[in-house]
Amino acid sequence: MYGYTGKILHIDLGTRKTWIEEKPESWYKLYIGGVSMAARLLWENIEVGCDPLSPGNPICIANGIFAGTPVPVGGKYGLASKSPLTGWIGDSLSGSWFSVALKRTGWDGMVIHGASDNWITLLIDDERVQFRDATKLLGLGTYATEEAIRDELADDQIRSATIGPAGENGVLFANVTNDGRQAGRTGHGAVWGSKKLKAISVRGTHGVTVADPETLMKMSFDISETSQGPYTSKYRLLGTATNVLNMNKLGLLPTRNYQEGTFEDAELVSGEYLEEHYKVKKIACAQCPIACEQMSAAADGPYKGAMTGIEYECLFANGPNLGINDLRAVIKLIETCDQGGMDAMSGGVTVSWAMETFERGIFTKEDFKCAKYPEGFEPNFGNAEAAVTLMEMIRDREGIGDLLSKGTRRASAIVDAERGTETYKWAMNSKGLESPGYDARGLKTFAVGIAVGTRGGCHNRTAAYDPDIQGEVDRFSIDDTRGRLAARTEEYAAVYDTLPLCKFIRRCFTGKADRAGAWPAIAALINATTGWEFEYDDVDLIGVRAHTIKKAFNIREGWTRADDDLPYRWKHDPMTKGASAGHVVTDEELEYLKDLYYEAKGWTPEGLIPKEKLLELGMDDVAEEIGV
Amino acid sequence: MNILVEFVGVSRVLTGEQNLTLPLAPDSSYRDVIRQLGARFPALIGQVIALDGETLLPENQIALNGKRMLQLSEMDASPAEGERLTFMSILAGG
Repeated sequence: MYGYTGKILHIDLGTRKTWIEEKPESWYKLYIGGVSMAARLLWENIEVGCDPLSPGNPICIANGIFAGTPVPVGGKYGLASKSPLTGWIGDSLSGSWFSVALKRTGWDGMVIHGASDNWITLLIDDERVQFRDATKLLGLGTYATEEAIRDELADDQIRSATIGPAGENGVLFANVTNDGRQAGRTGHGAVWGSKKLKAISVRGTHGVTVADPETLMKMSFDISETSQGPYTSKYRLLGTATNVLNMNKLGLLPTRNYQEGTFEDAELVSGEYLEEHYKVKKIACAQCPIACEQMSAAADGPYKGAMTGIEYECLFANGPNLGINDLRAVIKLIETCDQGGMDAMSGGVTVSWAMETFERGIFTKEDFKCAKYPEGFEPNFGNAEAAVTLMEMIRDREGIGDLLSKGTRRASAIVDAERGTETYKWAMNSKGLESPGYDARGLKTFAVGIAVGTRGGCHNRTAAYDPDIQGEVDRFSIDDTRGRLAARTEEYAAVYDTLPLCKFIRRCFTGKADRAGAWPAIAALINATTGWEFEYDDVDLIGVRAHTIKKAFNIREGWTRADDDLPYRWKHDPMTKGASAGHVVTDEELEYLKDLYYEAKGWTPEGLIPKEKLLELGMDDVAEEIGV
Repeated sequence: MNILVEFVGVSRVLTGEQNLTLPLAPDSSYRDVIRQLGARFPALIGQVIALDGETLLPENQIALNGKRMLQLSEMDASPAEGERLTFMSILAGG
């Protein structure tokens, strides 16, 4: 087999045993890599109904098909476990050197079972596996942990994926970090922490054998060259932070816990302002010629010295959504999340829920007592110091931080049960995953895309905002095209998440980002890597299968149609200002959109998958278990 | 007739402008707007405006009053008096 070794490494942290599973080439042709292969490994290695924080929830890692090759933006891997935040499938992507080093160890993927009695790290040193004591690493931030492991092993080529204090403490939206990148969403850090696994380090020395190196090299060179042109200018010049002003102009920028879609100080927290005042340098992932990460630092003020990479999603969540107009405070908040090992999106949106709950008089100053402020503090929107303190309290699960560490769905349910309130009405999540920076009230195709999303409130797994924003459809109304559009965009995104390739390269194959523009080139890259004979339709099926295995996981865990929902606010509270004012997604609209979507997928009206559909995809064992 | 042109993202970096009021001759089209801006800000050509000088490169779009994006089929239509045209990169990711 070219491009793969055919070997999955299994490790049991409890028994400290390891074993090798060999997979046939036919299995790789179905699941490829990234989130699809990781989800498939999860499907095969977990018992239904498993507690996500129990030893039975495996950590499944699947490398990318192009990791360690010259293919631009192909150095990425997928991670899957059952999410402790949502209770559904938790799949995330991260990229860069960890992925490349893992490829060079010779393992296509890993499944980590059980739990350790004491804190450990794993060292995957080519074929060898070491269980190493992690006592000295406890309490260290994510970046410091990576450095400490390199120092301890006296090898600067060691690459590690780590958790921070938030993962150790069981914050349900804790994440996993490597090389400054995060497998950010759905709480993988809490799963690792529950197993007392502080880090996985890899040292790989093997080469990667591909079928047609000459073609792969030429195509990679051409794509890299194109990527230095106008198709990626946005990412190279300003990064995704430039979305702030765009979203503000369209009235879609979540502001003060999604109460509005325009922020009066958007200019002050924009990517353009960041570039002018706080940007330090640009960073690229391994194998990436684009370099979109805008490393930024607070040069003065109370957060002087704070430094981290800034992306749109963490920027909206910790800036406008908290009513904060000082980028130095935003940098500090995101740094707190990144170093602490927490999802900055869920973190920001959970803090904004707490701020609104305080402003509505349900929380009082007393609720915010902590070691730093023994009398409590008042977390009004715009209070940067309060936001930073709250984020630190969440990381440490101190005081009210313990409640907030559970995310908005659980926190609101607990408060509402204890106090007889209705704070769920401004708890911004879908399936328990906090909402992204695209307000669905003004994006009605996206509304169904995010409601049906297998991992919950995520912009990345559904690209259904695309037809809305580009004007392919009227973004404020619904019609019978939306189910098909949501299905098609979701499967399109799933192709990139499975290979995985960073989506920012999508236009660099031919200038066109659609299937016709990208799939033939992607098929050629797959074929040059593996020696297979993939064509356009085979690439399309990669996305269909990737989404189907994740959906199948949720169905097996008890998913029903009612679980495909939107936050209450998006269904009932219209915004009052800006270009998207006056709109909501009504329950009637949402149910109609779900009907359209299930029909477009070829599923039953209840959203279940017919057996024959699964058999067509070659997923026979899945058909046996959940097909109808 | 006057319209308001706003630049965000790449177009702002290249022009150094946040916004400007653009006087237009009667019956001017959106295509004419792009031509005028290309002539005034040559740095936009090849980065935001296509080499033909009258259409946008992929990855770029124009929002009309923040409500919707100008479509290729509308390039020969005329802007309305006071219309707000925002030049922006295609929204994606985060």
